Amino acid sequence: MNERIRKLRENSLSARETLSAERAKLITEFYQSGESRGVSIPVQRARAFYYLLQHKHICINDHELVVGERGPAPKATPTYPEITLHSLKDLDILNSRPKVSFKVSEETRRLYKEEIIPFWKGKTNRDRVFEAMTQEWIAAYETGVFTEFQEQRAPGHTVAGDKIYKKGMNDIIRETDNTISKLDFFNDPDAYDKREELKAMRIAAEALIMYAHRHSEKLRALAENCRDTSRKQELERMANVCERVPAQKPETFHEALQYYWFVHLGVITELNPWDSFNPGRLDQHLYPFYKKELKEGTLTNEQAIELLQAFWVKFNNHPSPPKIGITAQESNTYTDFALINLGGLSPDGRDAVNELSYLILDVVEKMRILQPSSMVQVSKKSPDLFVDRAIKIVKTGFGQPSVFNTDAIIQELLHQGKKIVDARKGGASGCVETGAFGTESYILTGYFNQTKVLEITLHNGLDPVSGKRTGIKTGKPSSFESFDDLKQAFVKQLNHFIDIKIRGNNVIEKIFANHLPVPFLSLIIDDCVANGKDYNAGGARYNTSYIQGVGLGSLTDSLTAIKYHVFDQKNLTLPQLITKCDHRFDNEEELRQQLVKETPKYGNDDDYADENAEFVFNAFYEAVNGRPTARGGKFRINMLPTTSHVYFGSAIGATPDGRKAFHPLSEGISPFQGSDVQGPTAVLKSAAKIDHLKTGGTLLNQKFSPSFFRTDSDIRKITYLVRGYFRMDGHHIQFNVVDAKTLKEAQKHPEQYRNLIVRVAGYSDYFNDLGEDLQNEIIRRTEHEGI
Amino acid sequence: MEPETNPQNGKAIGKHYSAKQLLTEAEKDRMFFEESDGGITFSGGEPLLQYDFMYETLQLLKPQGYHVVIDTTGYAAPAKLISIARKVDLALFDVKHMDAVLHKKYTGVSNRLVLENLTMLDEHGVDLRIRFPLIPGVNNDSENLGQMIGFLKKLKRHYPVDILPYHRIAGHKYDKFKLENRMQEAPEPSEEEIQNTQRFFTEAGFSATIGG
Repeated sequence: MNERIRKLRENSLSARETLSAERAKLITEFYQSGESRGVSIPVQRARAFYYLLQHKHICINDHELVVGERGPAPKATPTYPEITLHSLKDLDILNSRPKVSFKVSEETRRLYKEEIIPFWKGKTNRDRVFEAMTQEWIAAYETGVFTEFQEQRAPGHTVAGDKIYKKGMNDIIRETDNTISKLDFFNDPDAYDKREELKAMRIAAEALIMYAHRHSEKLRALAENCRDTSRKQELERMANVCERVPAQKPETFHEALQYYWFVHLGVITELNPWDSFNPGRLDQHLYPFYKKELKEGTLTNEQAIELLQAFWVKFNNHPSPPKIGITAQESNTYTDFALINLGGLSPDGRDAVNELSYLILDVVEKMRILQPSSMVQVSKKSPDLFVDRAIKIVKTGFGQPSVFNTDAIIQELLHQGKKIVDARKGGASGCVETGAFGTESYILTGYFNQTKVLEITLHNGLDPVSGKRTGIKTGKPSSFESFDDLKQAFVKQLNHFIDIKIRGNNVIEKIFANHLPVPFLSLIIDDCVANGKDYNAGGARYNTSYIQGVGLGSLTDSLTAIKYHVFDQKNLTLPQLITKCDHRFDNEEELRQQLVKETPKYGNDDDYADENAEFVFNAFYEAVNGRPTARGGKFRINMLPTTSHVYFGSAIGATPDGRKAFHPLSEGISPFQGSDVQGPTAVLKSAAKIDHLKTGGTLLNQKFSPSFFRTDSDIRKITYLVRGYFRMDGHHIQFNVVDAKTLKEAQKHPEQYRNLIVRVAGYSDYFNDLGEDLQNEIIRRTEHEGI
Repeated sequence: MEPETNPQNGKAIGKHYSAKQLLTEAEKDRMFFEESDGGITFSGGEPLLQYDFMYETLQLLKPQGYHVVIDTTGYAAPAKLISIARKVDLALFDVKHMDAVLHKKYTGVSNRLVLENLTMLDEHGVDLRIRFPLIPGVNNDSENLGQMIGFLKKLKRHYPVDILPYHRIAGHKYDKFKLENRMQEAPEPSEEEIQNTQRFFTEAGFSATIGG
């Protein structure tokens, strides 16, 4: 790492998170002005986007090579009052909460009090959403049956494809004009809507060019006043880059990176789409530029590395937009997830690992920052050497890169009806979510608390925690004559809640389609331009809405405990067991121990337990998969929790698996913390019994102490372990490499472990920044003692 | 054989398996054996103490194509040892000390049978790896190492040697079972001692690796 990168990295790491009112102020100004009146909603949104980029402060930091910030300064984080409005109390909480806070200045507070709150109060999209939800939706939402992603953020979760490396914004503008000229106003009832959308897209494309030119002007002004001749020349070169891209298609490695970065800023300035926008297959996109320039002698390896490192810092500079209400109080700050995909297959199905894949892994290892995150796509055609290289970085213990099965991802996409070439251009984003990059709008709609559904089933529709009747009557537990009776009741209850969730999703999708189109994002994702249809309205080639199942391990173990102790061993009756759970195993520690330790558990390659995992998985799949969405797409499932297993656990009393009341649930498809005692291969075997190919991603977490990665032959063993799991169609595996002792030390002496990064669940975070519950859970996760 | 019981709670440690059940367990990990060219190792204690069971298990495993290894002290009835050794793909064979008296002092038995067995396996063409547990002050003196190399050189083939540096990780097991740990005072070898021993073997023309 050279001096420039060292400084950039240091500045990014030490920058303080602040809440910036800049965007809120500008968007309010725009809607107060006459500009928003008398035009269609898409055009209105495009003009708002133009206004933001026209007036946003241009921030160029010392030493930078790639320019542009989300806010007026690094880690200055904008808000989106048209989506969700922070109250003054929210601002105070954000400013003072114990975990990473957002500094809120007096001026920001004043702006909120005098201008932003009075204008938006009661008129945000969040207000629209809650107004449109049914009573039963509200009850299920409030009691922790599911969460709703689009309540404080816009639909997002997509990844850029290769389009921007082949077309400049001017080329895309020509495409919008071309589509407009071909509109059929005689036979297409949507022709007018399409025209408005395409006009909006055109404005959005022009906005990004204008924004880049503003950078170019500022860079030239800086160059003029720069006394350091080499920096002066650099600033001039950068000004030229911003002059050319994104207006034209990129010609150099530097231009490709800068173009992407402007697109990234456009997407996250237009709205606050959920979380994961990123360049996707970066080694594939950049390779032609890299190869060409290396050959022509206009780029050296060192320069390519330096540019990539400078690009890396940009991602680390933007925390996720701050939440409101209880979420703000409880949740920690985290950076938006940008999961760079490396390796995988080429569109024609060949091994796509190239020199740049290795070079970028070097960058990942050297930079050692939270964002962008990174992953390797491993197909059966990928060389072992590539996997070894990735695992050598995993070994250094900051949770990156995670490891994905390309062959599974492709089959998942094919199962969803994608064309093979689009599938091969895809990958995983966010935590583990499968998508066809550049051609799919795949929206995550919320976590679903599968274990909570069992709790409600065991109380015949009543939620014992809130005392509310949120479910339907599916029979008293005393009436279940067999385990199958219970399973049937569970499936009915599950479908009841999935219906509530899906009804809500369909309404929310329409709200976004009608009120908050995203003409800019629509430029990037095919075939929105060709269809003349917005990303949020189903304009993309593929449209998927995901519901994320949470608590597979806890739910499976609870069902298995009932089957084993009630129906097979007849140790006690179901009503007795439920009563003990209701009393939180008070004075029943012996029974609880029996439930924990003397019951078959998921994660041990024991069919007795694992067949319940298959049952739970299939029930969830059947309830969700293939149902139509309001955007004309399909609902699908994936199995990942981020951190919701902690929140969902806090909404559930004691469970038949012996889990204590309000404790966290199992995460992803990993076994319940500490219940896998047959070693890692047994965990992988159990996890592979559910059909990963029917999902849009599953998350499996395995914690290893560093000792498993000591020698090259140790590393190769892990590679083979991964290969074995992938041969069984496992989707993803990630390794936490740290010992519990270190973590406990870190808890006791946080000041000494400020740099300690752990894999949480599909993403990494500073251990210090996690809540105590989550810290404890990470400590508990099984530490395997041998392979 | 009965599993050992934990003196703290009287519960059995370990579990009874029939040969067939063991085959089922192995089958569960077949995927990983195949991916890694891995396999199954019979180890112990001394696996030959359960000769009948091991023989029966091997009869089931071999037709399924598993790579099977035995890790033995070499202290076993020659007829039993050879009948097992002929069925496995590799034998890991301990040579602890060349001096019969010292061997008896540290292990409780003379090394005569062990060395005879080693010669026998060599004559039968069994694939071998020699395992040498390196304990400073006990068996790493040049006299012992010299004798050992002299012995190994007389065999028909030069087998690779695994040097296993002594460690005390098992100490807590002695405590747990309330057994006397007579090796408690033995020191772990230094990096230098390990390398010296390795050099001794490599200079004599043996391939010698640390650990394994």
